[in-house]
Amino acid sequence: MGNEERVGALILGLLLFSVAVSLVPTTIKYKYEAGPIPLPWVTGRGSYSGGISSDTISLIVDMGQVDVTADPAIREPSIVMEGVSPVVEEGTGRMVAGRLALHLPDGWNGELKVKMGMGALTVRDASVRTLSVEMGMGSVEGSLEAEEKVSVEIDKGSVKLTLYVPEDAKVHVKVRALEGSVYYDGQRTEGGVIEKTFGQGEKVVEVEIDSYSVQLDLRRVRR
Amino acid sequence: MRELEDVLYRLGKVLLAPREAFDTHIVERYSSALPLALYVGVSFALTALTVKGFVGLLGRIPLYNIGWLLELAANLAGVIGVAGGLIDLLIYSSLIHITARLMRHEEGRWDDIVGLVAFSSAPLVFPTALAAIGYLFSHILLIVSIVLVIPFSLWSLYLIVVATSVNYEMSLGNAIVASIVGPLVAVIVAIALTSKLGAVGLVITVVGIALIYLEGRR
Repeated sequence: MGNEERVGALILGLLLFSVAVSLVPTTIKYKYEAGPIPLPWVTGRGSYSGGISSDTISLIVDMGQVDVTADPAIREPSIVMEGVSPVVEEGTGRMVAGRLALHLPDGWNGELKVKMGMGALTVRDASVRTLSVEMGMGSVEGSLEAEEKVSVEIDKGSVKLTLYVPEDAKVHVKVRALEGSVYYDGQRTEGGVIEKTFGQGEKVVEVEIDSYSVQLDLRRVRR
Repeated sequence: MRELEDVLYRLGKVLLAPREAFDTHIVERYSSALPLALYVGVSFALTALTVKGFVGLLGRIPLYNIGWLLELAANLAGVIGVAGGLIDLLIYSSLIHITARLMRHEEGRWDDIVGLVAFSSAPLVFPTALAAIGYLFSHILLIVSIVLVIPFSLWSLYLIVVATSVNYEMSLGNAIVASIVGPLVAVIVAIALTSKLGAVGLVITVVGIALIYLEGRR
């Protein structure tokens, strides 16, 4: 076998190896979640504005900014979306990329679920019964009043929340982070894993946060 | 066994002695099956691995709404890469052929230059194989392999210049004009006209090249 044949065999071998590896489907190699409802993604850029009257509101945004604000002037929740493929159906606002603003009436007692691939969630003085956030990469910031449960899970990101809880409730806090700190009644608890119950009362508010960096400020309010 | 040895010899010769390999390909009237198989394989693997690698990186971020679309695109990327590669091969080879004819080089056949340009993709096998290893084990290696495509493409471009020189029996200088300058001018004109006039600009470019070619043949 001459040099040409050896080099030829190398080329052929590398080519067959490359083609074989390129046939390995992504579904086997990577397990990432695909949307259960195929979006009409061809609709492109657009906007949506309207009411979203439901006790359970889900916001599913792949990339972008989500703002949740309290609005004393409204009686029903309303949603404004601007970006790629904004769709609202049965209490669920979906968007591929862009900006979403959810306005909640004062004292709204519903369940809010937010799923984001990458982006930022800002909550401004909104009131909810439960809040659950799942995010791939990004941040959750702001202040909210929660009556039963707050759950935030960010793969890579930070959480900086001021959480108002009823005065007559005890708060179960579970924090998992690289840097975590919880303020309650002048006390500061720090650590990577924080599992502690604050306050006393019959009512229970559960708080679970899993992120790189967590800064939680618990404040008691009279309802 | 003899046929396999012949295939290996021809493949190896392209990298070790390209001028001789291309000359033999033309003189022996070999079919373009081997170079086209090589070209299709490289196009498929390189596109599929690049796209799947980037989708894999994005896969760490859950895309709830368009995850299915990305996954579909990633798994179809190889096929799309082959289609794009074949279109690119035919257009590029034709532009080389037209430029060579306009330069009054009457030797050389169009189907031979198609085969030789396809053969010239041989160096890209190396970054493609590195991309395959990167896809399996390390994203950093995958990115390195994509960067390495640039120098290996220059090696491939050198082989195209040699192929043009052999096929049209011209000097290396003229081969550079025929295989790089001519097609580059045509592409720049096409992009400029298409950006100004849209699809009409592209049609004007194609008709213009055809007219110049026919006029030059008179």
